Amino acid sequence: MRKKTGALALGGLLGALVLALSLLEAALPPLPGTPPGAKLGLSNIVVMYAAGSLGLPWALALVLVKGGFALLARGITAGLMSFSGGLLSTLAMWLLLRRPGVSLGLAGVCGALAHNGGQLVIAWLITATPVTIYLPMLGVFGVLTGLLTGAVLKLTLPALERLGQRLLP
Amino acid sequence: MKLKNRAFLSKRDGLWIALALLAAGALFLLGRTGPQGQRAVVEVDGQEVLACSLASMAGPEEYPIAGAGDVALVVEIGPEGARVVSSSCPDQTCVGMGRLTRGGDAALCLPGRVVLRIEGRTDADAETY
Repeated sequence: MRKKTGALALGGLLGALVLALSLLEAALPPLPGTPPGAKLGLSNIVVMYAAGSLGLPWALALVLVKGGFALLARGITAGLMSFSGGLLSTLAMWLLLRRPGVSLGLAGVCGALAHNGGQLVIAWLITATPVTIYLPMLGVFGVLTGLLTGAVLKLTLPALERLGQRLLP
Repeated sequence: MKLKNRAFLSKRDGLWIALALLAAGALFLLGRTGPQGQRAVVEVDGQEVLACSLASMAGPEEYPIAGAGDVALVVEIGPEGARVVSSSCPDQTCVGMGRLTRGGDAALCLPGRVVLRIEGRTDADAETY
């Protein structure tokens, strides 16, 4: 398969995955005891795969897709939150995954914490209010969702790798 | 490929994560030692729309707040603290924050651009009467 066609196909597939996972987790009812508005971060699984296997430009492109969709569908606040969280989270995961000894769980956790951090910064900038009260719950929840991201990526990696190798030989 | 043979979680990475959880716990405890709340303030789009001294309230009272867009909230302020009772926003993060009691506590409604926060005095370690 020609390289450009393969790249286009892979980009489309991964972008669709990111959006489908976003929609899925938005449709899930919040579990009692979890912070309201907290998300599972399922699309980060795809971004983490891109950051680790395909490279930073791919991962950033997926952030663009997700953030652009949030901007169009839910408005500028949601778009800013998505971009900010996505950028920081992608950078964190990419930097960590460059080192071969870093496990997927840790990369997932750092990605989730960076995502929460980025969104908290935007919330703070928009409202000019101390947001430190949110830190503990976002910290704990970030660890849990980050571990989930790492676990699911570990399980789905063979399939994703096959896809990547097939389309980008 | 760079991801193929990575573990899910190594012992060393697990320690880092445990450290992060400890830090979150410490921050939580720190938050509970803040100055006792004195004033409740509501801001919409950066403008202060409501401010009450908590001690001056005889009992909890509800106030409707019109947020940005079509978001409507009901805020309850009383001598023990303040909370967002209800909101028409899609996230409901503001409602979920529960009662705010200490200086620095805040509940944000981002779709409505509403901030409910508590101000407390920070110039004294203890007050005795």
